[in-house]
Amino acid sequence: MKVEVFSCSECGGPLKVAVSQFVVSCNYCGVLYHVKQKIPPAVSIKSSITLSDAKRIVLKELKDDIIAREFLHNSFFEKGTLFFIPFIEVRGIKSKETPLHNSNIVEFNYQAFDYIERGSDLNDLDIDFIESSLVEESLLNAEQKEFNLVEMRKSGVVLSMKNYTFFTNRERDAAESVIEKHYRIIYIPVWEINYSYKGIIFKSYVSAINGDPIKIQALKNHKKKLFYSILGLFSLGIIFSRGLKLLLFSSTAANLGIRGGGMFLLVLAGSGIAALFLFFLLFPFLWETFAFREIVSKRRDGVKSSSINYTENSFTKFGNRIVKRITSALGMVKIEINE
Amino acid sequence: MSNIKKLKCRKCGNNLTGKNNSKIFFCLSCRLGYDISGEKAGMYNLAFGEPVRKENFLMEYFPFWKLNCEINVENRSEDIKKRSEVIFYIPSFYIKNINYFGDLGYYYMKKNVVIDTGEKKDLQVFPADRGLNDVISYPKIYLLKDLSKEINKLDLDINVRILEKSLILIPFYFKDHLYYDSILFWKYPSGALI
Repeated sequence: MKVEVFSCSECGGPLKVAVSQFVVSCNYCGVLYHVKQKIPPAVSIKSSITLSDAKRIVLKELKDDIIAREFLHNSFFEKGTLFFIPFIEVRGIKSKETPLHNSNIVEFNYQAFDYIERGSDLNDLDIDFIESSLVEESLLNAEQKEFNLVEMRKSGVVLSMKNYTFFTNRERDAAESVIEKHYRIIYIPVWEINYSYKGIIFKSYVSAINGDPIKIQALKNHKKKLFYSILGLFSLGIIFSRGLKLLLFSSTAANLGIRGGGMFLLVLAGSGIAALFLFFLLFPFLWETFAFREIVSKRRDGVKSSSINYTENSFTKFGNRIVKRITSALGMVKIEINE
Repeated sequence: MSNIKKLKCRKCGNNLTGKNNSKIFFCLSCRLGYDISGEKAGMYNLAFGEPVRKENFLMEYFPFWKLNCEINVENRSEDIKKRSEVIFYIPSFYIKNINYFGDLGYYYMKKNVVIDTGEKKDLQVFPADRGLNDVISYPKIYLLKDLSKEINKLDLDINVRILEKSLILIPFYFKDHLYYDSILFWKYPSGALI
């Protein structure tokens, strides 16, 4: 976050002013200053949920049928981080004229408007699905807190503003009837709760304003999938054995003359190779469909699942480690594993 | 380049009270309010409102503009002129969804807010983020809201002249994420006033 430094006109001490900080006091003589900036002023929202409250909320949400029981019992709490996420808000009053029925009389009234938009892309937090409606809902019982960047940084991570497009389109729509309009930046506190399970980090997010779960991430319960897979394998086994029986002992096979001859072995080997080829070709899709280690994310807009990508993480790391150990044992390279 | 100003009372030299998003800063000991939203900081007298209903909840003072206006209404078709003086109370903070929650200023206009002259100490003051320029058109807007049908029917011409500008702090009570104003005792969720 960009910081500008001024000097106090009373004592000459440094005054560090962050972007959107309008009020600053001298740390040495206590004189208060107002700094006019092009960027709108910031307000912070009070965080009424503590880390232990957030952990409790996540644990409560984890007790769900779609989440594996083993995750609940064997996962470890890694850390909880409070993030202050910037949102840009434009709000104001516009006039509204309503024509009355069966007359030329127009009734005058005025109404409030407010739009909220993300000030940061949130890609790093993996909650880029957060929409303004979700924030507006959480703001209903929110309380304003003094914007103090130093205090905020002591208690959590303050995300920097990246988006400075102040609703140009919507603003133009409402421009004609606007009576007054104000811009400001609101910092919304959100808890990130990290749980680890067998080396994989699962990140859940809870609103620090009212404790609403934003996203709960865990290991998916695969009991149903396991049941259907065993049932499917069993059915495939029956079909395969029936087919083999038909091929080896039926009169058709005898008539064709493939039983006992070299042709039979050739067909068997050929189908084996074809099956292997098909398996490797279909592996990514099969992995997607039948993976038993899936991450499940419970969100407001539904439940999203994604399989854990072992090829990029665990398998690669494991392979690298083996290769490095072998090569170092052979004196080819010095062992150096950084993970 | 940013523009930096000292927030000190011109009368007593003490630091003013306000928050990061405030446009008006207060000197509670001298009972003065400074509107710094314009090019030059305007200095206005500050008064305190007497609560109509007294409760034992947490108290926070909300700032309002108090504009004493002269209203001249002229009926052009019948050549009738009327003059009156009205006190307007306009919130110097923003109320979300004003049509649903109601504009306190508009309803205070019809209520006589009594001034509390008692001594005040350790006050919690809500940030005032609406300067005089933001609210200057509201006396006419409030009147238009009241009289818009008559204006259409009777060809009325309304002129508003501000005679006196000052600020008033009205006590609000806070309990369970709800703010209650002490004059009408209307309740607002805390998020509607942030």
